[in-house]
Amino acid sequence: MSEADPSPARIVADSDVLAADLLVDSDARDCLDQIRSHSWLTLVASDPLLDDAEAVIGQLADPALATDWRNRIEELREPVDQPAGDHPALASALNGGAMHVLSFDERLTGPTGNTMVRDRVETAVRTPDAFARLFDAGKLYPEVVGGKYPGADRDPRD
Amino acid sequence: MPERWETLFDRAIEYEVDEAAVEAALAEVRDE
Repeated sequence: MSEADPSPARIVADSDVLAADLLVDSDARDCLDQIRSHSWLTLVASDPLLDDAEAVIGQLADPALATDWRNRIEELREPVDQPAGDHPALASALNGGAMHVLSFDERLTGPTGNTMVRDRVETAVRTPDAFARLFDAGKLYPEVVGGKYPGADRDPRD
Repeated sequence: MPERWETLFDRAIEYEVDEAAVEAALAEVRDE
């Protein structure tokens, strides 16, 4: 798990966004649906980031659902290392070359947070609703993959 | 074989969780 080159096709969803994707039918799910729908987009996540999301799901729902969610998300995510003590989402972005971070944490998504983050990582932290408004797979495809955008190539509910 | 996303979403509906609860739970988890 070495550091990857920064790419707009590499995305980190903080633990709150991952849990909200499962538990709340909202902007978080719309964002994760983009990743699930496109094989050329990569969800980057460290083990501690998934551990936190699994704990939240176990607390708000039940441990069996949390375990089954973990088994499913393991197939979607690309694992990255995380130094002990680092913020899971920022460490995942730094070590995984993710240029997008999704979070509900206002300490990260606000102007101050984004400035602090950019000192360390070439990335933008946005709330899921902001990301859902701005992100356009069709516009990104020619830059990342090349050619004309063919549309979604995966079933986001599979 | 992991469950389909659709199945996981269907199972999650019964808990009627909102985003505020998710944020509060994560703050608790990360404070531990």
